[in-house]
Amino acid sequence: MKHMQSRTILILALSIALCTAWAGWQYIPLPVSSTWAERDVALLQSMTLNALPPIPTSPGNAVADNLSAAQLGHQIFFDPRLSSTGTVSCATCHQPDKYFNDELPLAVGVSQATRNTMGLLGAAYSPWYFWDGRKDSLWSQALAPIENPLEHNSSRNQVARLISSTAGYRKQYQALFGNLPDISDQKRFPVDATPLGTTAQQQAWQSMSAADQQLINDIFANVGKVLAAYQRKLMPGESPFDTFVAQLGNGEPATALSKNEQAGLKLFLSKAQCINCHNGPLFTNNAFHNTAVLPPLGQLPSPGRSEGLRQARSDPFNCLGSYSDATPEQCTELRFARSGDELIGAQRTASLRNLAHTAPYMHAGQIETLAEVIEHYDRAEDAIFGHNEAKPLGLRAIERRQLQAFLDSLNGEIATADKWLNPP
Amino acid sequence: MMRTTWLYKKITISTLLLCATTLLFGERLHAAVSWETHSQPSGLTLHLKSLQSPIPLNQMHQWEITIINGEGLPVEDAEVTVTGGMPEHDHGLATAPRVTQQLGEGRYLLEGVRFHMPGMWKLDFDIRVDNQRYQVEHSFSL
Repeated sequence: MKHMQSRTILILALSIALCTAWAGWQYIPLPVSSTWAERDVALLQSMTLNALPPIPTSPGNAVADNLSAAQLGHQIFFDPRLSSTGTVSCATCHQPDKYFNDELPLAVGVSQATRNTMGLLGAAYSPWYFWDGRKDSLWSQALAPIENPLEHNSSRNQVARLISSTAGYRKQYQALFGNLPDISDQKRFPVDATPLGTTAQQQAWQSMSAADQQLINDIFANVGKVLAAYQRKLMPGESPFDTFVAQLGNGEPATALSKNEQAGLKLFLSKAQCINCHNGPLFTNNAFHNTAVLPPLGQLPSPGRSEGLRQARSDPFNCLGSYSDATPEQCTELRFARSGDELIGAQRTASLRNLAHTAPYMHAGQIETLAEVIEHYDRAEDAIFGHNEAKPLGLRAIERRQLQAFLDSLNGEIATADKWLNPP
Repeated sequence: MMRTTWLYKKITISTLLLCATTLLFGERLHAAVSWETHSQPSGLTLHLKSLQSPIPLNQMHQWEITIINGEGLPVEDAEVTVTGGMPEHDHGLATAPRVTQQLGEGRYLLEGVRFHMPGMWKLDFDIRVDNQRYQVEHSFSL
């Protein structure tokens, strides 16, 4: 009996010791050096907003940096008349007070859309747009939601009519692009027509001559160009991380990040491998990766970039198309874009700045919290569609928390003048 | 006693040499933007050069490839195709670079190069000259 008792005690003691050791391993932070090697500081400096180069030119958009174009784009961005219901503007999903996001898993326009709203801060720096990269410029991207039946549910003829019939828009448009053709003849220019819409909209579009279709497409493309000119003004502001790196560079006490956040930053650069894709001042390479994110319940997995590139190539509003102001030589992204099975299920890397305002995460808002996103990358399970590029990380619980603490240090203000953030 | 001192000296010298080599090699890995490499089967030498220095991350840029034959003469009219990727991550290049121009004296312009991740990259050159096929594999760290 006594023998039995002592064995039970031994087993109990061993179990407690094992549990304590496991908990200790998971939750006790390892001592982290508070010094930063010169090479690491250089890498960190490449990730601050100070290292952000001037906004890349947009060869396809001749008015990209024209102030009058930005002002007209600003008005159109907030105009709900750009929708079938008269209630949805670009700002419905891209809300300035929510960092041009909507805090919803899936965008809601005239009805629920199929993708998570992407933020617009620093959007001008990406060579590709949408989660699947089906657009190759900011101006061309701006056109798609307007005709998406779940978002604005409008049509290019309606948009052209709005510009033409609104005195203020008409005047500003003509100052930028020259004469606006008379499109008041409803037989020649049906009120509601687009080659992408309902059967009735498509038939109305087909009833127009090729020359008239081109007139409408010109106006529609120019609306995209002024919207892009406005969106090029939207920039993220400095975060505690940027202050921390400036302190390191100046040899000041680097107090802007806590020890925990600094430990998270070290993991970001090393064991957690986040830096592989979330690099540069906007913490994104704007490239496409399959990281085995599951589709929302009951939905088929998204083909991602494999389909997005096919669409971008056949888009009449792409860089090589007749509505673009670029020469073919300037369209390097489109000319040298890579396709292939490897891009099945690949989505565009999102920026990690201001994550506090962009939850829930991933292309369909499938993952609710940052902690769950970190767990997703830590596990790196096999993809159900295509192959997962990421490998399991083996992060300890404390490390996952430190990583999250660092990501929280990437929240900052919006670095755009207030006048652009409010309706004109 | 003598033997022990020598042993210490040997260990110290070897360690110093190892450190110096690592440092030098490490620096070269990061600094290099041009390389010389040889084909399989042998017969061609390739000089590879990024036209932007240092090689940028996330930015379209161009490379120049110079092809020299076994007699040290430039090779013109070769058909060059380039593929590659990151073996560590099982993925290919971010773009589909192509040779778009022959620049003369065995030089070829490779356009549409963009690397979107830091780490080890591998480029595979497939070269056809007079119905002969040569391959060149080149790895570098970004």
